[in-house]
Amino acid sequence: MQPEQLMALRRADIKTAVILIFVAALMIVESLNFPLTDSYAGVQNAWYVSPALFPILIGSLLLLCGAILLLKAVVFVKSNAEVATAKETKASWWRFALLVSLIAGQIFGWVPLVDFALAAFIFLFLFIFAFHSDNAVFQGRIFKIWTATSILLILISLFAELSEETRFYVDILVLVYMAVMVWLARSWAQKSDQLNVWKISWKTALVVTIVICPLFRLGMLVPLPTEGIVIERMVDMKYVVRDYWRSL
Amino acid sequence: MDILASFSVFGSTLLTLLSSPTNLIILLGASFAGIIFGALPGLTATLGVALLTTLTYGMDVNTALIALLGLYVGAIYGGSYPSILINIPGTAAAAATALDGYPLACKGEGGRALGLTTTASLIGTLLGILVLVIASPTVARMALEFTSFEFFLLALFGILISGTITSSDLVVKGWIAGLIGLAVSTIGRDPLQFFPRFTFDMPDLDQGLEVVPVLIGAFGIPQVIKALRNKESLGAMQQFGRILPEWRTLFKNRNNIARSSMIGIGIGSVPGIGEDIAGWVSYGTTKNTSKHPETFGTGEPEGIIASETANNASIGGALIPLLTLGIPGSPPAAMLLGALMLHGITPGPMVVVETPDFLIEVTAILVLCSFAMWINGMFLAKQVVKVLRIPAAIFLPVVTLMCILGSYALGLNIFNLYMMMLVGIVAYFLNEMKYPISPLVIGVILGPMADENLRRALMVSEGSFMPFIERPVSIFLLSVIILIMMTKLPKYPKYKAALVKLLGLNRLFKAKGE
Repeated sequence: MQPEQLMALRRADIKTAVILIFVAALMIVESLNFPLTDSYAGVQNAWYVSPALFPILIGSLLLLCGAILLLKAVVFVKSNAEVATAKETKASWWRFALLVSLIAGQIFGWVPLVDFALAAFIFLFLFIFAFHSDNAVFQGRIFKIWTATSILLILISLFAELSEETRFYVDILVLVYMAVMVWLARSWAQKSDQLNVWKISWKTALVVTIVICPLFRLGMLVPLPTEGIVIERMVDMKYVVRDYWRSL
Repeated sequence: MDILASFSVFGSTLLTLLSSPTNLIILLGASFAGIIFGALPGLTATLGVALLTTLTYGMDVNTALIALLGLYVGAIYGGSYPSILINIPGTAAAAATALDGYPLACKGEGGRALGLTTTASLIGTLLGILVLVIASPTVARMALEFTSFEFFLLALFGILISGTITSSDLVVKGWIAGLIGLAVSTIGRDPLQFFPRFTFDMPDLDQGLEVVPVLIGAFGIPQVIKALRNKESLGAMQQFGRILPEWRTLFKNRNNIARSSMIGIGIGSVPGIGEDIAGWVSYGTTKNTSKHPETFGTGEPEGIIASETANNASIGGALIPLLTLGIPGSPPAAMLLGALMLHGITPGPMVVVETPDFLIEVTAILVLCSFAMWINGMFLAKQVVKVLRIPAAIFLPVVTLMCILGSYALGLNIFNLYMMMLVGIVAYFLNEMKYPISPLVIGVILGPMADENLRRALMVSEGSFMPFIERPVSIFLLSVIILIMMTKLPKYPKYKAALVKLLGLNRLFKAKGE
């Protein structure tokens, strides 16, 4: 490891140690509220069978280890004050932000509300397109659009009670959104001569969605998080095919 | 159970499994998938086992074990492909293989290197299985004598040693990772009085955190973020010809194979550390004992054999504490523990009493998995290499979607996804700051065991800690724990020298070159 990187690590260690000490202290304080020697559910406690014993022990050890880490890091930073600190590039942080936004948006916004097949396709398409193109401009645009849409979906999940009919219209809107995104990505790709990346992105997203959804829903009988316009039709189709097969 | 009866169970299990075409397809498919998981840098055996666990939910126990162990064995071996062909280890376990594998491939002998790797992995796995089947009943019988005092210390020992050995930076970071895992394990109702701890009135936290989403979050999400954020890409691939087993070279290396297997099994059986460390230790030992150490690093077959035999032998080693004590020997074994519990099997000393045939069945399945790995390795290597050409930016989004589905499918609970995401982000930052993730995971798994046994032990002794220093196994474990911690003290070398002088052991240590 380069001296600058080690310095950055030790500086980060100081911050982590402080957070650890704080969390460990909170853990101990919270544990002290658990029944220590008083009775719980009709059982008189002794300190050695108390539910607080183990968390207090772990909290104390974490506190101790956090303090050791803090001490070691502070001593290192002070004794190597002349060494510069390595920094992550801005582009790297942007990629990190996009990755977190894509995954968190999918988990908190799309999966609980939108038909899983649609959510999976749009997630895969934008994810692959953003990183396979390796184009910072595309990544920036996708970050803004995806984050805004995900926040909107989270707000709808939190504050609106959606009926079956409304969910159907949400899925239709998502279908339109998908078409717009695919078309938009195509125009961006065309301008920067990356049409091939666009093709690979939508084809992979489509193939994976077509394979994974029936595999889980029909093959392993695992209900998908949200079943709407696509998954419900797929299940209906399964029964139509089955009935037809039986009639033969 | 006598030896004949054991052989009979072994034979009948093999026949039953082989007579089912479904099992055979699953065996070969899981092994192939494992090789791909091992071969693709960024994916690990642990993540593979975690994701496959979801798919085995509807299977019977034996079929599920075929799939999971097939993938585990395949993934440990599969890491050698990119090590040899691109000089990038697919898994940490295969890192030492790259030192001699890649130079050999550069000389145009990639096929030879892969052939040696494949057969050495097969031999290593089989030797590991042999020790597993011999040692497990004895260890399990010994473990039946253990009381809560020993089980608490055993859990502590596992977390501590894992933290100590796997930390690439300060040792205290390994311990912190283990303690974070233990702290996370306290969330939910406590195992003795069902008092809700750190649930913050959230019903979803009442049962504690599900292990599988936590593991998927800890191993899957950080890999995806790390690889795509740092734009990790594969280098130019070396070409290779026909893959041959090279029996003559392997026979010449019989001592090397025996030694490497023992190293692998020994390291694998230590809780929490596994294949990656076994590969390095074995490579180092072989180099140190070689008559021509200067040739290591230039394409020396001995080095490849040492590393690959050891990392695959440690699979058998890792399963010894898992099956007999319920303590995982390596991170993939930790995931396997979660999968077994999902299928209604609680590994531990009682397994030999409750299901006496289980160990033999696992052995039979492992033997099949080893041969499936060898067959796939010998005949499908070219197909694996094709998969290696898929860019990370294409396969990692698919892996992310599988992580999401895998975490959801086990409990059909969206809350699991939230936990996976949270754990994933925290694990990513911990990883970036050089905290090892294995002790964290071992801590989450062994936490309830440590908590329950500590309180049971103190209940028996009415709050006295004296039995910890009165029972022989407790004294042994306590001594090892204290010794491990002492060796990490800054003044340890000084104290050691003083003690050696005091005991008059200077000559002995000088003779050993210490």
